This record gives sequence, C-alpha cells and structure tokens, in this order.
Amino acid sequence: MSSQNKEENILQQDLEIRNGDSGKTDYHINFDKLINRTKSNPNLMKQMIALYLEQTPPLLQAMLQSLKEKNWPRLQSSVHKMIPSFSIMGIDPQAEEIARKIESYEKIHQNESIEELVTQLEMICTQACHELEEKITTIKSS
Amino acid sequence: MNDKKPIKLFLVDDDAVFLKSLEIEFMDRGDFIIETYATGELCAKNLVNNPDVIILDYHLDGIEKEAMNGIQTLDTIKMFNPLIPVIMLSSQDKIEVAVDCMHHKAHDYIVKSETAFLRLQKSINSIFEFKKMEKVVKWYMARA
Repeated sequence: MSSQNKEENILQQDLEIRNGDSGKTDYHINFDKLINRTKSNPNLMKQMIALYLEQTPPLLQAMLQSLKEKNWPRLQSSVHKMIPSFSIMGIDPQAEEIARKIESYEKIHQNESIEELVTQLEMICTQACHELEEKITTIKSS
Repeated sequence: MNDKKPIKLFLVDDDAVFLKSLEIEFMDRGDFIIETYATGELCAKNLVNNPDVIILDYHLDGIEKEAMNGIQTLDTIKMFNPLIPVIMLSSQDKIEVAVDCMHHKAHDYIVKSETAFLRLQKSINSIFEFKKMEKVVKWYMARA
C-alpha cells in the first residue's frame, strides 16, 4: 500500500470513529469537511492545517490585545479575518455565530458582553487548534 | 470555459487558508494556471504576467493598516489594463461594499461563503461567454 493510500485510510478510519461517536460533544472540528475540501489528499490536508495553525494564533492575539486596548475597529477586523476559515476547516458553526456577533456588536448585540463573546470565541479556536495539532501529528506519523 | 487554452488566474487574499482552499478547487478543475498573492502590492508587481482574471479580496488591509486595500489594488489593476476582469471577494454581505466594487469597475462581487467557489466559477464562465459573444459580434461587424 502506498503511503498516500495509508494516510487516506487513516483519515477515513478516523472519520468513521468520529461519526460513530455521535454522543461526544467535546470536538470542535468536523474533519469530514476538511477531508472533503482537500479531496481526501493527506498532503493537502497537512498544508491546510499548517496554514490554519500559522494564521490563527496571531489573529487571536490581535483580538485579545484589541479588546484590552478597547480598539474596536481592530478587534472587529481581526475577527472578520477569522470567519472564512471556520467553515473551510469544519470548525463548530457556533464560532462563526459568535464572530458575526462581535463583528456587528455595536448594532444589535449590546445585551451580551463583548468580553464574554471574545472569551467564547478564543476558547473554541484554541480547542480547534489543539484538535488540528493532534490531527497533523497523526497524519505525519502515519 | 470551453476554450482550450488554460485560464491564467490570479488569486489575491491575505487569508492563507481561504487562498489555499480556492487554489485546491481551481487546480482540481485542471483548466487554470494559478498564481496566488497575499497582498495587493505583490499582485500589482506581477501584473506583467498578464492574468486573464483576477480574484481579489476586498479587505486586504484588515490587519496591516498600511497595506494596499482591495479597492486600491483594483484601481491599480484597472490602470495597468482596464480589460482585466476582477472579481471581488468579501466575507461581509454588504450592499455598500458591492456598490463600492462596482463603482471601481469590478466585474462581480462575491461573498466568501460555502458556495463561493461555485459562484466564482459561474462568474468566470460569464466573463468568457461575454468575450466569445464580443468576438462573434466583431466578426459580423467586420463583414457588414
């Protein structure tokens, strides 16, 4: 079996385990989406994960720093930049909902604290990064 | 897209994940030559490579405030060659953004969503359909 086939098998097995594990709610990534996006190509999957892991921490940092400095335009810009990758990477749709609330905070969501929304988003993204790190390690070691 | 010659496509976005996902989709189609750029400045520098179509993010200055934004990049492209079709992308579905893009001679404005790739394909198809029609009209006009 070629190494690409082996990796594809591992991705498939992993997906089956996740699908059969529907009782668990502590995962923030639906790897099915990413596998689909990358046409079941493990190399492309590795590249996508690596790009996400490179891109997201500085955006989270910018988001937290902007909140601290009450720099709302920068806070909204950094959140805005995160939005498209949520659906691409298969991250919990809740992340996009929260990000959209932060993006349009002044207009409609003043009943929720912005600090709370930022904390929730940071938690989901941080957890997603851990899951992706695990995944990239699994693909690399296969 | 029935032309046999591959379409040279510039993808310009500072969101590396979105850029890569678009590249994967277009590469999968096989009839494109793709060049990707993370900034408007890099895109402008490489216009000499004569792209057939450019897909350009509206918010290129989201984090880097000094960076050339999407509209400035669009203007630079149109100054270089007004005939290059530019499709603008944004993750915000806002009428003001769409109008702004159209005022600056963008061919289309597409929201970054799950269906963005399909919409991009459709928009690119329309560009080449229009070009084909233009050619036919010119051919008939020359014989009139």
